[in-house]
Amino acid sequence: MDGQLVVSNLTKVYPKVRAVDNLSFTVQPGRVTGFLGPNGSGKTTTLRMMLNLVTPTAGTATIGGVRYADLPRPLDVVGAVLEASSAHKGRTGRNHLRVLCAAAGYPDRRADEVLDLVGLTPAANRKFRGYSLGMRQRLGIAAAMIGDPKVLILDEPANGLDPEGIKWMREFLRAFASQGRTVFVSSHLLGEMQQLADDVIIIAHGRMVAQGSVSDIIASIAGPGAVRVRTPHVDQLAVELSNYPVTLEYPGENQLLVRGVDAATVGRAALAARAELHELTTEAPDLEQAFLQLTRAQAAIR
Amino acid sequence: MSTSAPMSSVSSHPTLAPAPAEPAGASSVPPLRPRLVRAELRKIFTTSTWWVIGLFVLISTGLTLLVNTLEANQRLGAAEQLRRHPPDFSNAPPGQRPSASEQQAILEDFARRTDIPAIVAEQAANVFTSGQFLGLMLIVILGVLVVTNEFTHQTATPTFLATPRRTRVILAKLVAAMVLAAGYWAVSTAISVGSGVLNFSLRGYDVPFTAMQVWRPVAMNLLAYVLWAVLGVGFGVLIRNQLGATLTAAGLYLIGLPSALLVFGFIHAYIVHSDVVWNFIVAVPGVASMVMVSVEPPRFGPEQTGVPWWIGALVLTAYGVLAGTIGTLITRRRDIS
Repeated sequence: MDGQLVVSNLTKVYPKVRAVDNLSFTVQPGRVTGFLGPNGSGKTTTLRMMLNLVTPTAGTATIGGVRYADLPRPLDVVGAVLEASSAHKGRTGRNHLRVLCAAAGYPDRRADEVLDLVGLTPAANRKFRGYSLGMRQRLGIAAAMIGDPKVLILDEPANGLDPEGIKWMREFLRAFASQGRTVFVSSHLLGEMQQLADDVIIIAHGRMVAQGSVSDIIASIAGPGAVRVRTPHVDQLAVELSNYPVTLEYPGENQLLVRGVDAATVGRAALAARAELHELTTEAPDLEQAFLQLTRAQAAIR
Repeated sequence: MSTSAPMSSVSSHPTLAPAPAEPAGASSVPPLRPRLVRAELRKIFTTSTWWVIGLFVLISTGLTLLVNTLEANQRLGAAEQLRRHPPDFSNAPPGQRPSASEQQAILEDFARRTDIPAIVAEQAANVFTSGQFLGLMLIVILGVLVVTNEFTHQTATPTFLATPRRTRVILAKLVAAMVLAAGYWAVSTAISVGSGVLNFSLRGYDVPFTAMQVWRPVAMNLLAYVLWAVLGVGFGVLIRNQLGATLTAAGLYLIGLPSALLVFGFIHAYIVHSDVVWNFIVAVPGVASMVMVSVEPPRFGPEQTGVPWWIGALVLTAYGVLAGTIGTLITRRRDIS
């Protein structure tokens, strides 16, 4: 069985809100796929429907062609990390995993193996209420790894993690995907996905907004960057640049913001215009801003 | 002991032991899985729930055992006292001597009140089921906790991820709660019977274990423990809020009899005047439980025959099945979010 995830026309209607609206996409093995959308856009509901925790109003979700509920040994196929506090506060981390081992038919030593895998062995016998948020996320990953699954599904795994924890998580997921397995990870931050994901699926208000490779998506939603120039000869440079397909902004005295061409072209134009340059920098597009605009635009369509 | 301890690299992952092979025809096996029952029992034994409830069971058993033992000894002492003074009609003045039939009735009453083996049996049943009243309430709370803990601590998500067939989870919970209830019954009964037998034998009485009126209440006590555990699981599913479910279940258990007496008393006084009305009070779970474990059928009216124990058992079993079924159906449909 391969680890391809297929979501077809998935819909969830609550009495007052259409949380997920006719959503269809596929997630390929061997890649990290980001599932992006603002808070409340239906990501968690979608993930929970894929895992048979929430019943869809319509549509289906399959993992390797099989619905989650029909998997004979689901933990062998899918590991899921959905919320960071899914353990009894008075139970130790090791016992939490041993309960799951018993339910899934694994020997108890499997609990120690996955604790070791996520680096939680020193805290194995500590009660869950004493775990930091980072440790809770790791315990969640340990639980997801019990069945050595082909697919990992994670809901906002970076929430509350310190930079070291985020780096660890990123490396863990990249290594997992590089073994030909599937990683499907939700987030509301495009910047985070830019560093982690190969593909992204973007939703807003339960509807598909965009999907494709991260670089394509970023190029399409953010547009080209701008080149910031500081020069005492703004007017001369502006005249020379009018020979190029550019838009110009004047953000301050002796400053020019050029869109449409790269920094090398602006430098060449400055040389031709005999304009003295004090600064020439390329400004990266503000991804989060572009992402918010995109999803907000989708919301307005409704 | 901190998260900044050296982390194992992800590359260690392939060295993990391979997962056990898929058993053939796994999806066609019956829904009750022993390993799920084991998981449910482990959930209880890895938190403080089991010993906190166990402690309360011990306390309630100990206290009621003391009271019941003292009462038994007092009754037996009174009967022994009475036996030394049998009715003697020879000294009565000739004019006031009871008639032959009256003498017969007095003698029969005397025989009944000094029938030591019968009194031992009755008191033994009482002593051997010590702690039942509070014990059953603790068991219903245990059943509630087995379910509501999953929602209070958000463990329903990993539980249903590991076992998406939710009927199996609820079945395992029902069986685990019943096993635990039977365990608490065994501990409570072992203490009561051990201490009771010691007390009776020290006073020179033999306990007639083979008499139905001794072993039946003990066996029915076990049935009551098991069924209240099932009712607790049902309550836990119906009312997901832990505190709400606990208070409702315990409250209904505690006020079941008094409120039933009130309601049925009202019906008897104003609607149906026949004493037969009282027979239907067994429809209240708390009353059914009481009827089931009683030696003599409890009577609430002079003309009432009393409801036999097995009707109480049937009623409580029906409630248990109903609670378990509704609980399973609700859990199957519920969104876990």
